[in-house]
This record gives sequence, C-alpha cells and structure tokens, in this order.
Amino acid sequence: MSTETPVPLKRRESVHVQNLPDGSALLFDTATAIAYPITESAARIWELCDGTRTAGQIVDELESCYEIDRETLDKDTLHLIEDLVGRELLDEVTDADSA
Amino acid sequence: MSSVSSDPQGDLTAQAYNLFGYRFAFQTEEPNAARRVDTLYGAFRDESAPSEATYQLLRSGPEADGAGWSAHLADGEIKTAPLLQDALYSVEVGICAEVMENANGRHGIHGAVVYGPGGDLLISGVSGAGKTTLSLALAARGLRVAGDDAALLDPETHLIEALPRNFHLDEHSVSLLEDMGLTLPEEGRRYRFVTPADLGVVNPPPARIRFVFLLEPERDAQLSIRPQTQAEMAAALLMETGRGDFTDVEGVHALSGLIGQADSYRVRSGQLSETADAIVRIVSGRPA
Repeated sequence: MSTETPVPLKRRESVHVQNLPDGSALLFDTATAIAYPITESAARIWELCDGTRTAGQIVDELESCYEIDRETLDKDTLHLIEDLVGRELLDEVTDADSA
Repeated sequence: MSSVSSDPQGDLTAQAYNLFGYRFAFQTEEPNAARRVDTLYGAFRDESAPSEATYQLLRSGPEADGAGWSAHLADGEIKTAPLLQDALYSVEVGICAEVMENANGRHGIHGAVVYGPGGDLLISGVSGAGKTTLSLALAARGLRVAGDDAALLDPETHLIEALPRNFHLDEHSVSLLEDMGLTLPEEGRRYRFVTPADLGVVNPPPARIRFVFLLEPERDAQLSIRPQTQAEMAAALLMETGRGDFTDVEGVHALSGLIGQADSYRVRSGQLSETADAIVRIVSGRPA
C-alpha cells in the first residue's frame, strides 16, 4: 500500500474507540476483546478513516495540523494504517463493498 | 445487638457481615480466628437480615495428622489444612471471590488502594508482582492502605472501594517491612493474617484515584518508573492483570473513567525502600 492507493479506509464496526482526557485513545475490538492503545495523532487518523478517505486524502488533512514534512507524514501514516489493517481493525473499502 | 453470638448447637462463635451487599455468617470454635476475621470485616458487621451464606472454620483433627483445620465454604467445598492460618486464608479467599462475583453493578478490579497526600493510588499488577509488599512499604512511609489486592469500581462515579483483604505476607516481606519500620501486630503475624485495620485503616471511604502504578512482575537492580498515556494504562490493566469484569464496552468505559482522572506510571521495582520513596515523591507532587 502507498498513500497513492485510491482505496478508502473504514473503521470496523466491531471496534469501539474510547477517548481519554490526555488525548490518547483505546481501541477495543469487541470481536476479540483485545484492547489497543493509540496516541493522540493516531486517534486523529482513526477518526478520519470513515470509509470516504484514502490514505493520501488523510495525509492531506493532517498536513495542515502538523509541522512535519510530507514524506515523514506519508511514512508514519501509512505505517499506522498498515498496522491497523493487519490487526483487522480497519478495512480497505473495495468496489465490491461499496456496490 | 451484638454481632457475635453463641451457636446453641455447640461452641461455635457466629458473626454476621454485609460486605458490599453480600450477607454472610462466619462460624468458628477458635476465638483467635473469630477475632482475626472480625478485625478484617468488623466495619461490615450486620445482623439486620439473614445471611445468604455461611462459612465455618472447624478443628478437624490433630495438626500432627496434617489436617488440623477444615474451612467449610459457602459453595459446599471443604478445604483442610494443617495450620489454622491456611484454613483461615481459604475462608477469606472464598468470601472475596463471592463479593467480586456479586458486585451489584460494580466492576471488580485487581489492585491495591492506598490513600496518599496528593490523591489516592491504585497499584495494580499480576499476582506476585509485589502489590502487597509495596503497599505496606508505603504504609511504613505514612500512607494509608485500604486494601492490597481487590477493589470495586463504581461505573458512574468512578470511585473505587477496596475490598478488605488479609495481607498475605511471606517471612521475607515481613522482614523487609520491619526493616523499614513497619510494626505488625503480634496476633496478625502469628496467624499470617494482617489486615488494614491492624494498620489503623478502619471502614475506609471510597477512593478517587489520582495515580495508577502498574507493577511489572520482573524486578531490577535499577528502579524504573515510566509515565504512561492513559490509553496505555487502560490497555495494560485490561490485557495484563487479568481482565475480570472488563470484557465488554461497558467495562472498558468504566475502566477508562477511572484511568482518565489519573496520572499513570509503569514501575519496574528496584530495592523496596527506593521504590517506595520514589512513589511517595510522585504522589506528594515532588518528583525527583
């Protein structure tokens, strides 16, 4: 996957997000009862994975929030997204899904 | 009305309690055991309604035969032990398990509850991580220990109430604590049954947790205390310490409410006194 991949990303319905006062968040997968802590910036990316945005579009939105060069932002965002997809917390929305 | 009465069937002393809604009676022929249990649960004595369960501690034979005492638990199980202290411990563990299972909407949580100068502490960790010894080391530094192992979390208020437990200490821990200046009562030492009341904490109020410390089971020569995000701590409590009641979204929400009002730290203990001193500094608002 790259941020050029034109596939929207969508949070799995089985995953409950619990935001904490310090900005971090807990992802709790009700299907497996496993909890994953994520950072404040990861929580922002998680919220943007609403099934309409691709990885590139998510980075576009983050660019205005963080003073980080585009290359680093691309790399960090993609790393997180791949991790979340690998843990089956996030899905790539295919044409078949949206049909 | 006295909460201690004689059993007309024999020489049993009977004491009735209401521990967070769990009504039970404790009967024994051994006055020291009756006194120890009453030291633990004395603030919860209640004979205003019938007990739903009865626990008995009875002499079952000469200690030399290896079965000196029998603990009759509420579920009908009978545990025999050569020493009174072991049978007493079986009774206490059985009562604790029942209270945790019948928590009336509250969530059982694994951890020690300690009142500190800058707010209350929850010290969590797997069994054997050192919660009891560290809690009592903090008591030697002037903090007040409400319980060393289990507590009930109110999902609405996020207050927690320590379940009174016997501090189960081995000789090594007793020696370390006494070196730190903690005085343990003779009767508690003799029966390995030391309670929060023995350390001056009777009927402790609900605690609002300001500091959460997760003890790692490993120890090091070098003490390490690392701040954690609240999400890291919530996940660690869920995944590392025995999830107990926290298996659904409602439980995760309640736990997050507790963690969300606290500063969180992961601790790899060094020497006991050094670890206790470092924690006292943090909860006193004067970190090193």
